[in-house]
Amino acid sequence: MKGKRFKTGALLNQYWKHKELFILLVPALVFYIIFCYIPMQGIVIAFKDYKLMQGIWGSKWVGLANFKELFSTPSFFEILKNTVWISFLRLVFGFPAPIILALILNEVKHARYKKVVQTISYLPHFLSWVILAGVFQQLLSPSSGPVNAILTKFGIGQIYFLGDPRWFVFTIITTGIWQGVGWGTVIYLAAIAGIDPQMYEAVMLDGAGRWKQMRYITLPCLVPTITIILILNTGGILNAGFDQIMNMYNEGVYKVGDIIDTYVYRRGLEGMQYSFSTAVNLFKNVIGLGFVILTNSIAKKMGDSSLW
Amino acid sequence: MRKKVVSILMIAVLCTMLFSACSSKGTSNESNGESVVSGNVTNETKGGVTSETEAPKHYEYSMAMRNFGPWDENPEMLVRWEEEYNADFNLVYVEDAQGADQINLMVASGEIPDVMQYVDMNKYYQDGIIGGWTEEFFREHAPNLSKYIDETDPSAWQIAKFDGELMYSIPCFRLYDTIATPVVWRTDWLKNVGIENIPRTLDEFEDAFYKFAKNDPDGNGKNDTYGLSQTGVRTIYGAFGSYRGKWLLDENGQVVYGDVKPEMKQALEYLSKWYADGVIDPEFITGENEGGYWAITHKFLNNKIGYTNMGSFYHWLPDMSQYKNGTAIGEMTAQWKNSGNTGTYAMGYAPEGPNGHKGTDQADFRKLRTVFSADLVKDQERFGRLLEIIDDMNCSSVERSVEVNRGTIGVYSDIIDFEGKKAFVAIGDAKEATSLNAFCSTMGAANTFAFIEEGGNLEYQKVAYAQQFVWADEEFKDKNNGYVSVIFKTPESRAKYGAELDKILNEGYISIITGDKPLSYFDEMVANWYANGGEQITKEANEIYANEHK
Repeated sequence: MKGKRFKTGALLNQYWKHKELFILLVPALVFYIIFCYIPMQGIVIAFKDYKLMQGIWGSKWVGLANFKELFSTPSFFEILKNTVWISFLRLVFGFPAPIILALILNEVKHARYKKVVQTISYLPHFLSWVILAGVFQQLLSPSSGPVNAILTKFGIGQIYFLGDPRWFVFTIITTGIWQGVGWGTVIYLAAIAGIDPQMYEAVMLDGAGRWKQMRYITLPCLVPTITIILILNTGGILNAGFDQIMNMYNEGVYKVGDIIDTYVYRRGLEGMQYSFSTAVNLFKNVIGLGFVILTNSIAKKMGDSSLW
Repeated sequence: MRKKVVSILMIAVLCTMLFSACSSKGTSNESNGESVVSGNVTNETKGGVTSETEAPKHYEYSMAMRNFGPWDENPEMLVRWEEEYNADFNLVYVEDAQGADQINLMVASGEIPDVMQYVDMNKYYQDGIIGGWTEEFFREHAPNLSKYIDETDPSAWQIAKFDGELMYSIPCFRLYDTIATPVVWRTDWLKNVGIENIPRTLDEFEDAFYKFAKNDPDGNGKNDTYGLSQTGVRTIYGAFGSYRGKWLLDENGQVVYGDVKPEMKQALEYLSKWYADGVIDPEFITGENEGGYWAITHKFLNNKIGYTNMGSFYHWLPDMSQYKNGTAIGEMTAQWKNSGNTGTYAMGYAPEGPNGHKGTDQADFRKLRTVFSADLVKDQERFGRLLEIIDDMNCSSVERSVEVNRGTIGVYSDIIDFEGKKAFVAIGDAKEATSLNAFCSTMGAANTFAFIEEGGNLEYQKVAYAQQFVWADEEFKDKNNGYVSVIFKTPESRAKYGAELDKILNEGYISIITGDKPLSYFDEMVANWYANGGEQITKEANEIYANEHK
């Protein structure tokens, strides 16, 4: 008891000593309070029948009616399943991609070549999906697209990547990886740059080649970064990539490609359904938070890197 | 000395401000606080603008109008109208893309503009944000508009009466929507496969489609052409007396959704057969447009299909520079020219089915464009005066509408002769501008004062789009068959069920056409549709129909 109080006192002392740093923190705190925490009270409209004229607090309480409406939507399980499945595939295939690319880039010794590769791989990130969807529609077209022309030459035959439910998810995942992989390497390359060169020197003295350096130094040093990113990514489990799918899907692939966001978007086109869409987002975020907590506790048990 | 002048000026300004504030206050106090306005007040403000003896009272109006961009500091036309009509128009800028959201936000924060566009009218009506008035009141204050509505289509009165009694918006009309979407044939292909006349009946259509797909109409020696794609497919439904996405009447006079009418099964039988035979472009699901302007059909442009229903008629407007004073050209025509495609095409007829049905997509030409806040409408004199101004600005003469939309005649606009018809033409700076709409917007023209569709009546629209209609009136004389929904308003529970119902239909139609599901699935799909909310919207659609046909 006594010891603890002493400790708290020491902590406060520490705080006081570094008070300038805390003052520097104030603007950021104020920003978050004003622009993130105060508006958050608007979440209550998920439990209300929001009417413009009556305002957030004046509108009628409806309890869980908006959530019931979401769960009783006939397509709900289909869109939930699609969302989770696409997100899962993105995690399995999309998550390691930038790590691998970063490791490969790290091994490139020719500095100029490395920069060129990096720049080219970043570029797609800056193109909007509205444009990319048009590009892919032409590239992947069975009748006039170059991809299918090549496939036909190899005797594989035409594949309707964007219109065939068997291929749509594959197309979404691959094009998604292509678009995001370069940008994703930024954080890993930064982490790699922070690794102490002495470690490489030490292992080199022991006779380790390039492969073993990567295996025993680079990768283990990246693990904390990878863990954090993975935990954060699982939070978006119910965000399967609205921008991309909205621009690339069509009625023919609803069965596999219609996700929660696209469905709610189509539904929300009519009639200012603020309460309903807030309820959907709240649902998504609560599930996401659950996943973050879960993966975080797993990460904590398995190693020493975790979010908190 | 100088200081003195300035202060005297200030006092003068203050006095005028006070004065004007008082006068508007005074009138608003007179209003009786009812939202229903009867038409027996405001005799003194009647008579309009030019009357010298009784100058109309000065009022202020805040307006959130659709526009093509922000206005100048002191827009030239705004200044002119404020002076001429002795009123202050406070323009509230909303971005085109987020117009509805931005006005929702204003309403939520309690700053409701007097005049609103963009918004979900029905929702606003239900939430009591906008006000309603009697037809009698409207007829008294807007005689020109009333005459226009009476002469054009009196049924439009009823669509503005959201509760069946009071008007909540001004009925108006859009000339462009008097012409159904066009069907277009590759005439050189028809010739190449030995068809002399443009097909009229469904059988002739089928024949042409099969020959397009099988007989190498472009003569390149490859089997790479199809009869039709996405937009062509939808014209086929019309031949059976129904149309997708439209509310239509059945033989008992009940309103039914076009997609679930039993005739559709016959259409699907044709379509699934054509698909199986390789006549329909297998990529019809992703559409004919491959990005860029929506009304461009790349499939047609790139010799993949020989028949299309893409865009509106004006996208296919020929190059009018062949005529004296002609400048216009349709987007699709321009693309065709630029692409260097040497093929020829022509406007055709909607396919006529076994029972004589035919038609393509057509929008309702009746429109509602503007709504007014409940507070404004309550204030009978202020609102009555605004109706008078609108009546004069948008519906008194072609010349006035030209000036409202395109700037002062003689400076920015002119009315000339085009092939024997009166035609608007831009002159001076407006002619040099890269975008006429953007240019007009900055000076307070374009849509700034377009309270009704296009800011003018049909007569004005004929002048504004003279080149389009000189061509279209002749070309579509015998080709103008369209399916228009029999109800104007959208059933309310579409907000709740719409996404689900559309999904059932869109998935169902595609899987039947592509053969994923058998034709018999149609009945299951229809039953599904009714069970998942279709019943409810059909009921509402019938109520709307009854209300709109009182």
